[in-house]
Amino acid sequence: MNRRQFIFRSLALTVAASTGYAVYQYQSLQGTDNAAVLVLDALLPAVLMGALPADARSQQLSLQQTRDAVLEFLAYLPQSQQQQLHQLFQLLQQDLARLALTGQWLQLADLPLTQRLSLLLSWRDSYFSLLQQAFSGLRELIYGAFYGQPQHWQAMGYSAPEFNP
Amino acid sequence: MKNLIADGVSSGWSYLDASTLTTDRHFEADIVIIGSGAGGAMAAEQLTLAGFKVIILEMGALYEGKDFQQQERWAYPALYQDGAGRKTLDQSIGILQGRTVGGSTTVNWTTSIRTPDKALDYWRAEFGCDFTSDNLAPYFQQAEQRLNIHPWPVPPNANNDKLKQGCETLGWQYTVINRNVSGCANLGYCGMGCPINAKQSMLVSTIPSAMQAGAILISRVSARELKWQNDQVQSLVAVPVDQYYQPTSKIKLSFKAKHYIVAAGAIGSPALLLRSKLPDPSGRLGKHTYLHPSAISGALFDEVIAGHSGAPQSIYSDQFVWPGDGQIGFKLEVPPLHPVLMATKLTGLAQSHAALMQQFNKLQVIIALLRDGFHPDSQGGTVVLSDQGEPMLDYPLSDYLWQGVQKAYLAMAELQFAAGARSVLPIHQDAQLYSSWKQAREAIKSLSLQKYRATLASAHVMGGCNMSANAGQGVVNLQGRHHQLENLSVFDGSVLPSSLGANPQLTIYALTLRNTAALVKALK
Repeated sequence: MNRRQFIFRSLALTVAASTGYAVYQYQSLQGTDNAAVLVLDALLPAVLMGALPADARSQQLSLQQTRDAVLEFLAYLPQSQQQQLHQLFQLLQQDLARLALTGQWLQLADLPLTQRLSLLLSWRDSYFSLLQQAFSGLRELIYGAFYGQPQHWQAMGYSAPEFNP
Repeated sequence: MKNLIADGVSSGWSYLDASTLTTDRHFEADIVIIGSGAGGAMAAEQLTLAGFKVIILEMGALYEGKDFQQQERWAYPALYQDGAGRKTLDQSIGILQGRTVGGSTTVNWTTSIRTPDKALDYWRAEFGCDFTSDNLAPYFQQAEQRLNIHPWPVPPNANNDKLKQGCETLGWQYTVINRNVSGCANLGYCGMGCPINAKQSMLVSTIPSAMQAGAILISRVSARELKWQNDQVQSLVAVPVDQYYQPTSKIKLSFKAKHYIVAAGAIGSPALLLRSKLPDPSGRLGKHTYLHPSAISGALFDEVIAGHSGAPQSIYSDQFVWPGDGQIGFKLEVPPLHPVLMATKLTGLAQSHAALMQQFNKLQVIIALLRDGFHPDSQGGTVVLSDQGEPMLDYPLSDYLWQGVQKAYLAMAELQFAAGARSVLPIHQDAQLYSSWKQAREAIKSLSLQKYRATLASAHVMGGCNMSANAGQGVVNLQGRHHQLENLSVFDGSVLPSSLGANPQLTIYALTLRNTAALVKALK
């Protein structure tokens, strides 16, 4: 990152913080990483396009449960990986905030899903190993959390036996 | 159906969940075994029956029979290292490894294969090992009898049957798999812990038997350091783990024994030896760790495959495992298809991923396990310690390996089309669903052979404390005894000097039985 980009990023972050950012402060999970919440909230609806339930209410619930499942899962990773992920979420949060601003959207929530998907694909195809890792890591966390929930199995025609309910 | 260990504990067996401790504790025994998987538990039974006082330590929790839930969201965090999210250091290979009482035997897919002769030949030539299939035969037989290992008599599920059909059409070699099961109901949930005690894992065999004979089991405990002086281990220091299996620091457990057996798996065992700063004159401690890195190929069929149902692995093909041209070989098998495992490995994003998941029951998947470690350009990975002292596996991917990945994609696609697939999807970020073998063959040749583009996975970790006749070439001798420390052995997959080109559990059982018999003689 050069000096100009750095200044731009810092500025973007400040503006983002003063506008839509507060909306994403997540209250119910104590002590969780706000950057993680913001990034997940921004990416989940894009990554899960085509898989989410149709009606708005179940969709919202599904997004929230998937985000919570991701956040809960992180605790099982080794400390070093958790720290890396924490830094990654900070970085990605800046990327998202910058994208929202440069596109004149006031809040991340207004950023079109296609733009969020493009951003993800740009991480996948980036020259930076860190962003490539971010793409595959986030993808895995999100799909793992989503398809771990039995309410999402119907569309797949899958059901699990229950020997020990 | 009973919970064998819990019932035994009610009737007086010695069991302790270390996370319930509130004060430091000290234990003494003849032998302390670190790890309760294929190596540790197999040794525990033999040593206990030989009259030694044994303590078995396990980092994971005690879950068995009736505790197992047939849901990945329960099973992965409860039973696997890092919640089944374990990865190599650069995150390029996912590693499935058990972390529970019984180790990986509690969650493996029951495939039981004797050590291939070619691996034994290689160890003999390169590491002075004196094993042959003949002199190991009594130990293979002993393990096969103990765990009821026999050819699976039930017809394969459709996922395995497609592997078989493809081989038949193409004239490729295939074998019906031997499984360690007794009364198996062909459910398909081996990877989440057998709910009916059919899988003859350590959990229902050697651990209850050792405990019945007096062994003490301590779960949720992480071995931190072997204290040593001159050529002797003096003691072992361990700590409880918290609810997320992270080591804690408030309480200490110390152990004093005549002999110490490290059996914490091929990542955990080298990590303990590295943390303890054990002598390493060969320079091989934590080095040459092998993974059978596996490339994956999906295929869509017109008929229902339902790869979640039925014995997960019942057919394999060794058509390509030992090519004569010096190139890396690969074994063809299939994985069980459950939603999380598939959703995380399959490629695609948003709609394309969702569309694939909607055809979940028509999906057939093959894995090609690359036989790493038999070539100068395949020297495996290195276990390094994080700032917290936890192991991280640095596993570089060489061009030699990548050539194998490409050949594997080709072989898997050819096989899937030969078995009648409508379309084939190599699990690679740049690949698409191809509708003919011709189209797939051209496309696969141009797929970039780079990490993160290709999805790679491993379910077998081997090496890191390799055995050798000569102390200059390994960490332990051919009986698994440490070359420098007199009262220390390593009995698990970490002693293997290369990968196997076969699933490792039966090799670990047989070597452990052999080495335990030698240890009993030496200690008596």
